[in-house]
Amino acid sequence: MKSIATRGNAYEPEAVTPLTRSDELAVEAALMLGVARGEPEACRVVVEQQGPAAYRFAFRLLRDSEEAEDIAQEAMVRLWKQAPDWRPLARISTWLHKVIYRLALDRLRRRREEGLEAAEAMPDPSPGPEAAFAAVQRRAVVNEALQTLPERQRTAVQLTHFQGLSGAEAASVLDVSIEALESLLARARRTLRTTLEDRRAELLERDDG
Amino acid sequence: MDNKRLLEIIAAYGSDAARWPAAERDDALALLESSAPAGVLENERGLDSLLAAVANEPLPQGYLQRLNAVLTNSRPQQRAAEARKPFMAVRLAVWLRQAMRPAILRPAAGLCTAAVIGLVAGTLVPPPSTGATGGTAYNDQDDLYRPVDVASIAYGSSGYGLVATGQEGWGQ
Repeated sequence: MKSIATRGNAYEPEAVTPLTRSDELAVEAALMLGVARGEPEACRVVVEQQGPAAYRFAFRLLRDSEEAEDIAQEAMVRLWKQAPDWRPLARISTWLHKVIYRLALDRLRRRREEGLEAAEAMPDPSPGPEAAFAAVQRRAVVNEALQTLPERQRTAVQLTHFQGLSGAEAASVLDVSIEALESLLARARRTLRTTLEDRRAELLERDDG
Repeated sequence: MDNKRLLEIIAAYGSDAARWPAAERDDALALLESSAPAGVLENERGLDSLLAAVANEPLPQGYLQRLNAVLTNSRPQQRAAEARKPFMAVRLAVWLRQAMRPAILRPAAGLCTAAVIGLVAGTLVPPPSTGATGGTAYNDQDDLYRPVDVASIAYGSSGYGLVATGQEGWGQ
């Protein structure tokens, strides 16, 4: 069961309260009503809750910081436009991830049509201090392993492991059944384990360094 | 819940029970305690710790400020306001019909009613897309595939309902 940690205002109650799914949907519907009315507090909460995840998901799909920000902004603008008609049918994050996924697929398709390869360098928006070098290198190895997965397997892992979506929500984003999602996840994890096992020595070396 | 299902859950979602399906979590944990094969989580823990290395990609500097600026210049759709226009036009048509009830005025009433219907139709039919906006987007909770005009959504409006402080953010 999920909970929301809050800051003591209308949209973020003070206590950490366990929420049922319908509670969550109702809280989010109230938030979206606030966005529709242009209430600064509601807008701030939605931006802070959804903005970082929107960028990270777009970046994971596209591996390009500029394009990721572009798509995250576009998806958030669509969320704002949707606010007056928002109905408590799905979590905001599920809706947003769906939009980002479709937009990113469009971009990837366009890249393929234009014959452009995905950014090889995987630009990292934070330069990272010297002390974090090993962690950055380890991240690069894991990211490379993720990039070897088929697109839907990779997205399934990203949604459930990094974006905090439940299996049902991730299945909804990918438009597949829960069983199909679990199959994608299991195959992805099996491949990742093999790939990363092959690079275990490299990872350990980087850890030592 | 049986061992087979428990292993399926772990194979798909990994060792962290927080990611397991909420409806099955308690049963799965109970089974894990009581009768699951020893070390069933060990294989998955190693992979999970490696995946944790990429769990939080850093945000670009100034990202949230730029996002706030874009959203401050966007406005929610004014569906409610738009919906009132045809309603008022229909009321006008009814009023005209009643006002021109005498037989001699009926042709004029017909013309006026036709004009009002035209007005209503004009407010309801959206302008045609120019097709020059580049790309499709998805803007509905039921059907994310409905194409809409990207540029008009992203850049076609300003400042409605949101604080316009002249600065980025929500005026806090």
